Amino acid sequence: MNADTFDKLRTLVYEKSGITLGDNKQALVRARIAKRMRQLEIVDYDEYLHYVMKEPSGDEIQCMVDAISTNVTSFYREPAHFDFLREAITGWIEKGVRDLHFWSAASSTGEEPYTMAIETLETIGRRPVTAKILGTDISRRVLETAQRAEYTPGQIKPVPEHLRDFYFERRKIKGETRYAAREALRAMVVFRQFNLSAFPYPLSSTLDAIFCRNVMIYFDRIVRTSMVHEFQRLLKKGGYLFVGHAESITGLSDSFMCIKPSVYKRV
Amino acid sequence: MQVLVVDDSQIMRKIIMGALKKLGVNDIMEASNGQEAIDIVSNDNTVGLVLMDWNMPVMTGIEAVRKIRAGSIKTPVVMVTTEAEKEKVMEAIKSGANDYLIKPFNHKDIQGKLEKFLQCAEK
Repeated sequence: MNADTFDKLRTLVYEKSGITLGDNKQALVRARIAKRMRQLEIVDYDEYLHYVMKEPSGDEIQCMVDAISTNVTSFYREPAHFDFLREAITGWIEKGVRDLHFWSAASSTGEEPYTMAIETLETIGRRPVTAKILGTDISRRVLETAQRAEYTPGQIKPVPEHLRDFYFERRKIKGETRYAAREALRAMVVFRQFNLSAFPYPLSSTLDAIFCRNVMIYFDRIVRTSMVHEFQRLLKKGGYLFVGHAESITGLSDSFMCIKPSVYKRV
Repeated sequence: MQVLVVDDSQIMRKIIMGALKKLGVNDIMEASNGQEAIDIVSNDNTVGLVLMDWNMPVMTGIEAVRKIRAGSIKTPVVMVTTEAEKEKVMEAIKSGANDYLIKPFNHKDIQGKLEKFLQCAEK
């Protein structure tokens, strides 16, 4: 892939997804696009770019973004956030809140929203509180996996055994062991495709917590600023924004107070 | 077709109206709660479709649907909701809503609803 093709391709990716691809990502993009090109039996990168731009439905652009977007996730990733979420839920319930709404903004294959669901159900217990979690991602491919909610023994490993056995059903699928989320988890989480760089977001201001972890690193400062302003609009006062441990929203908005590293309170 | 967009959030109304305009619908009215929506559809029979938010102050969307149907007004109403639970959707349908649209939605979702009710209106 020559520099000109890479530039055109990254401009297209930015326009469609807001994802910024640095020069150092050229090898990664080349490898991921090559896989897609093999499926289409296209041998030349310029030809592929032409195909993407001319394909009328826009589905190929989606496939390209799917191929390029990074989907690293796991159950209980950055576990301190889930301890904090439990404390927050307990506090809200003590104040009389009976409906909770959370958003996992880049839910990938579902491990994050299902972890949120497990911790929410464990905290609510038998109290008359309802909770709903919206899981979104730009990639349709990962959302299909999230909706299927079947995980390998390796993927499920971070879930404590007693919670795993309670919230997941062990099954054999084509001879392989899989842990399938039970109805209690599935009923709490709704998945939708969503572009975090398309503003304003078609959501209402009713959220108690937003998890947007290890996502903003893929966007430039302009997009990040708009994202934080949207989070500000959508979170109730006293709600929380969780970002990745390597991320910060300092300087992007005055409406958030840093409670602890990577946890911000909407004020 | 004239479309009435009912939502207490100005930003949400702007998003929905923007999507409608991109789909070629320019005849759009706005209301910020259920009561305003009732006032409009009761006095204006040119409204062909109502896109109604669920949670609004003054009067919720579902209350408004009940009152619209109680007044024998047959204008199609699509509930715009974050509540994906089946029982909530069923509650809306039982109250007289014709369909629902779950937030977050995209242009294709809105287009699907528009086409559905445009076809109904033409029959």
